[in-house]
Amino acid sequence: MTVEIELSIPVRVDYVQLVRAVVGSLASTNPELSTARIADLRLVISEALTNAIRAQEKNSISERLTVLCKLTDSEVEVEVRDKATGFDVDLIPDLPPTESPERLQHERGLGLSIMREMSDGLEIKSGPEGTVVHMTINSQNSNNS
Amino acid sequence: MNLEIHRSTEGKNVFLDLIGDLDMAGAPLLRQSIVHEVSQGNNLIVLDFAGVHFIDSSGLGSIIGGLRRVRSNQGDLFLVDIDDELQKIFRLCGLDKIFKMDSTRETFQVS
Repeated sequence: MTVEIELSIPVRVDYVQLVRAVVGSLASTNPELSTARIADLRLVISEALTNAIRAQEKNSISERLTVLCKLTDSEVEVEVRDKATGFDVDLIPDLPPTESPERLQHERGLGLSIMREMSDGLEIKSGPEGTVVHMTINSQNSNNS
Repeated sequence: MNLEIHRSTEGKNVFLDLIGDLDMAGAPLLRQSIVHEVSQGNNLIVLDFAGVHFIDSSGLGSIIGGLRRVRSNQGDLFLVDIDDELQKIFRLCGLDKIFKMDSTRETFQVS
């Protein structure tokens, strides 16, 4: 069984919850996906969409965002595409260690590490024309459950 | 659902019951609520997560900012009743080492 959906959404924060609900509902039709894995999926797509919205808002770009979701028996693939000006993943600074008082000065910067840890595959292609974040969630073998 | 915050007090503690998703849409409300409490001199804040079943990095960021604000005013922030799925995310981000968490708000209620 393979099911694919494509969502085109406005650059608005209130749509993140809607996308989580739609993708989560689609994933729940696969009995091989556990509740924990669907929760992981909802989280990583929320992170990717949040980054996409922030990037386009920062550059005042109102073009719609695209979310693709492909469900098979063994995995879910999700992809979030924006039209912002891109970024260099390698230039994202590390956060201070949690033991450091300096850590409380940083309210942002967790999204990428959450996507890395909660997905089974993360690929980011970014350039001046936009960013594509592609993630895979396997139905089995969660590293974090 | 969109985040709602229900406020109550007991002694010097302010309880903020969070209901809904703590994400990019909900985080500003929590941030504003904590800023308001601190501005009123209420620096002992308990966030009750019994009604929260989704949190992402935006939500975590708002709590980190809240903790910074209360501590800079000689106060503290406590998190109670966080479900297992959410606790997994706190651990993943190392935030279980920063926040003071308890399983129940009764710890902070005046008997």
